[in-house]
Amino acid sequence: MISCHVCHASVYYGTLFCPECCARVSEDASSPTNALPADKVEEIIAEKPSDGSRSPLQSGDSISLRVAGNNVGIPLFGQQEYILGRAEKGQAVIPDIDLNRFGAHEKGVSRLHCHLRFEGESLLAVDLGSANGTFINDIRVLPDHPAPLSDGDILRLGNLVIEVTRQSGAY
Amino acid sequence: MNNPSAGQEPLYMEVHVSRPVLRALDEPQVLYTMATIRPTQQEGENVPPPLNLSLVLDRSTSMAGERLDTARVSAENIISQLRPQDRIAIVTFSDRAEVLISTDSSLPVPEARARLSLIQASGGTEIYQGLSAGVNQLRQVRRPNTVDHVILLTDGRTYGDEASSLQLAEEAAQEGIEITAMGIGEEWNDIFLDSLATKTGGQAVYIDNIASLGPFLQQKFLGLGLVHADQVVVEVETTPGVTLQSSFRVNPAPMPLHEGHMLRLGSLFAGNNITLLMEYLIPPVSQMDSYEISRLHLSAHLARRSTNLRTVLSLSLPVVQEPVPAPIPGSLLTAVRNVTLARLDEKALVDAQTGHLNLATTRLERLATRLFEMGEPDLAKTVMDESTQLRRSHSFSEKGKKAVKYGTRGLVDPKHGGKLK
Repeated sequence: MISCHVCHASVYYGTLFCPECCARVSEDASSPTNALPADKVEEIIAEKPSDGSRSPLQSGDSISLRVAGNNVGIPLFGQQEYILGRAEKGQAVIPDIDLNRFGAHEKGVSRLHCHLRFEGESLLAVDLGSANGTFINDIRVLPDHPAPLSDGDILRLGNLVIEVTRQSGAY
Repeated sequence: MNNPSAGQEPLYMEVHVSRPVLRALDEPQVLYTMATIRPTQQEGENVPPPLNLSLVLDRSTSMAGERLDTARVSAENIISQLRPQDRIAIVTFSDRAEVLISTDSSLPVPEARARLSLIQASGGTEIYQGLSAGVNQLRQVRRPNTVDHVILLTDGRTYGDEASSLQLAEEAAQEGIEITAMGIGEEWNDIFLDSLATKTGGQAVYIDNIASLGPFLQQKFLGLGLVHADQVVVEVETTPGVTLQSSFRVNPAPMPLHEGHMLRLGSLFAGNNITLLMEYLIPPVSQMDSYEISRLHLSAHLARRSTNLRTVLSLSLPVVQEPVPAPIPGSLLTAVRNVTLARLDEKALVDAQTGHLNLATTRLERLATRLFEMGEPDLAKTVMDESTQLRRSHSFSEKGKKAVKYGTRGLVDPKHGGKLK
């Protein structure tokens, strides 16, 4: 059992919204992620391949997102498009990938920050008019101007750094 | 998770889950699944099936005036739009029922209009009388290739015949007849009409403003003319130890489904889909590689082909020690939140009925808080007013109770909300 952080009701593991108060049950409580030591953050960024060796990501690829400082990959699996952002109380549209557990608020991620979609053969990123901007390898992506992503690209939402990789193993 | 027969059958089911894996745990865990049933586009199936419609109108004293006038005009509109293959019956009832227009007659429109003008409001409300006559009208003309539907329109409470009405609905469902139950104003019994409709896969609708009756009936009639499949049923066969905690039709016409494993979902309209949210409680799964949670037996009546379709989908997931966080489909997350809100209201109603007033008001206040946060201030205020009313008088107001119930349901699918504005 895990505890609702709002009304403290005990709820089963896997519960998404507390049946007693309808608050979003924190995934942190139910699914702890292992934070890497700080030096690993540098390693992830340092490991990125040089521009020449990158290959564009394609819709058939098994792609995952990895937030700097964490060793867990978030697979892009089962959908054609994803909204990245922060799920907050009272939000009409909930992002497909909630980055709250990665300190998204402190790092300036907007509630609906960035949209990833498979189009034709490419995986495209577009900013959703976020307050602090979306960057691919430190180049700003403008709203309404989708930019293609390549293996090893660093996607930055505000100050939250995410590595986009073609997944090697099955998840 | 698609049905392997997708693309060949005229409809298929796909299932999304809240997690792609189960966690190896020595305690129970919750899994949400959202099943979507979609029509497959088929060449040469553009001719809609014949519709047999039975319109059962309450003509009790309280219907006098605008209510009956609007019902009469709405019925006339429908009659004037019938296609050559369609049949309609108009039944009126108070303490007894009269068949004003029978399904076996094809009256010219002016004649039908003349008969409708004869309806006079008087007497009480005995729903069984009307419903029984309406269902019998359909029994006379139903064929394997027809879509058979009753629309019941009432503004009052029926006394003493609830059980026989529910029994009739059960029989009608087994014969492939669906019931839409529409309650006008505040006095009707929402629990009874919900139950009546749910048994057949139909819908209960709250009409708080009589002006919305005509547009709703028109929309319903047009939809029924485009039925792709009807009598859509999902029977959930759970693995021993697994509990189906709740099931809710998200789309169309959001409604909690009848308790049990036989989920009647009603009609699948061309160009639309049926979405069903299920919540499972899974027993400890610590010593296995994968786990079959349930089998979903989907069946549907294909009026155009005069056949029934049956297919089964197994829901089975891997079990892992430390699951990797995976994205939850946004549509599933939103549906779970909105269904949780609707269920919070249902719980408060039960609390109030069982005398747990403090619990009921606490739940209503929490519901109102969430609604405010979600940007639904009008509904939130209605909920707060009901909470205050409950504290003061120890009971809900009929109007507020219905506004909250059908309003929160309407959030589940704003396009097909239970309450019409």
